[in-house]
Amino acid sequence: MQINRRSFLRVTSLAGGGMLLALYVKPKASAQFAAGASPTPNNYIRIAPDGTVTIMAKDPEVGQGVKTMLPMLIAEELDVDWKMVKIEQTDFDDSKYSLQIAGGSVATPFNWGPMRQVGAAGRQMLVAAAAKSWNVPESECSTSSGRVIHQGSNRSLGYGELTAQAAQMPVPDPKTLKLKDPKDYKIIGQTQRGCDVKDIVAGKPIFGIDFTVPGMLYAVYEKCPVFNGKVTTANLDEIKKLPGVRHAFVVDGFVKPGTLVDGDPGLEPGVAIVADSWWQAQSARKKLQVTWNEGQGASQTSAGFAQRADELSKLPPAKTLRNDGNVDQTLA
Amino acid sequence: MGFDLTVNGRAASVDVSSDTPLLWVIRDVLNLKGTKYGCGIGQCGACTVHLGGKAVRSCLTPVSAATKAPITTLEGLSPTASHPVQVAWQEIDVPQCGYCQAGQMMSAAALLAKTPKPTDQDIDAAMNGNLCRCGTYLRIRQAIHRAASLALNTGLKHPVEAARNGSQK
Repeated sequence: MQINRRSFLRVTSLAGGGMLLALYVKPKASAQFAAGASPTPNNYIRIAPDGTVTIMAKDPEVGQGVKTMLPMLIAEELDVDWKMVKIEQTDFDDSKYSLQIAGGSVATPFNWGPMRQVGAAGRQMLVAAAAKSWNVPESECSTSSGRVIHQGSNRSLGYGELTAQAAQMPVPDPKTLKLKDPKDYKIIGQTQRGCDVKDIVAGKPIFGIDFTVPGMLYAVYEKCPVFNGKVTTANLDEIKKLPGVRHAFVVDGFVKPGTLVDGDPGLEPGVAIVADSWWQAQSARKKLQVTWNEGQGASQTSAGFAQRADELSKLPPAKTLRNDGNVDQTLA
Repeated sequence: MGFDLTVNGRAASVDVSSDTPLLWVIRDVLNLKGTKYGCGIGQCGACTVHLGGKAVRSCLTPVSAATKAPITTLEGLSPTASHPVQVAWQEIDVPQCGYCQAGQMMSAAALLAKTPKPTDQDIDAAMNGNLCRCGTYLRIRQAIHRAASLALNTGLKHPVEAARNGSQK
């Protein structure tokens, strides 16, 4: 096994002869190598000896199709047929998979380069392995549908047959990889069915709410109807006696600094009820009596906000973000 | 309290309080996770199942009101996703996030059992109570038409009946 610790790409042999290709996108990950920390590869492609190609999707799927789209980018440059590809969702771990977010329509622009490079690197190593075994120049080899082909001698090998040798090949520098001409795309640009559609229509337990662990309890949480309000009293002793209730307690809450939105409250103060089943927790919540200290927010109203917005709109700009040309003159 | 139910053609005895909504019996007692919790107040349709062949909101149906008629969930339409509605939903690639789709498909299956060749108006009226935040409504309508033609070609049985007989149709 050869691992090039300086490169962003990393290949590993798998037990039974498969190969696994990983990409490091984050500078932080490189710094960890330098410090001698054990690298945890963020695996993107797994090719089994039987030719099964498993591609990992790292971003959260929330209906935008990203779990299907990211593997499409890899599969295109790896040069496999879409029907040969299995897709797996990665764990949530920002230190391995940079920027695992949904929002801002950035998944395609951010991943367009790196994901195609992962695929192209995998293809390159498979080509190198085949060329070596045939003792021919790599430049004489081509790929198609998950096979490396040497047209001159009419020979070909499936990717699955090449994984053990390919895992020994040097990992290419992403900058040297030759990516496909878009006119040769077979997967990108074509409509592909959502990868989870079959499980969805069969009612398979693939959603967060479907997940259970042994002995799992269920919690409900009552927050103050006014932003930033706090609990003064709650009838916790009565709640704790209700069927199935295991715990009932006041949560002080916390403000999370440095969050995306200024003033993001983190966890707002409230009352948590934990029960054997969700319905028991929810039923107990209906009997919950809380007195709140509603705080400063209690005096705020929608009409007040509108009035304040109106006042502010008549003041000179508080901050100038850009000032190009003369708007008043142009629009006059 | 004990309640005897028939779910997807099989008898099930459950021990829960009588006000427990059928939804939570299906999901947490019988471990059929296909049926989804959306709003809990009958406004979104994600929890739709069939009770005696009729589409009902399981989040508002107490278990005590569900003992007299057979219950069908998405898993009961066909365990292999081969009910015409499930086939059409795949062909048309209806789901995006998919969270509401169990309810959508159950409403669609109930409609088709009663109205084998629905018009757009029939569909809109029957599907009105099923919300989809991804906005897949146009594909849902298209898929119901497709399911209707698949069912006419293959002979759709009423879902409850189909589930009871273990039919793959």
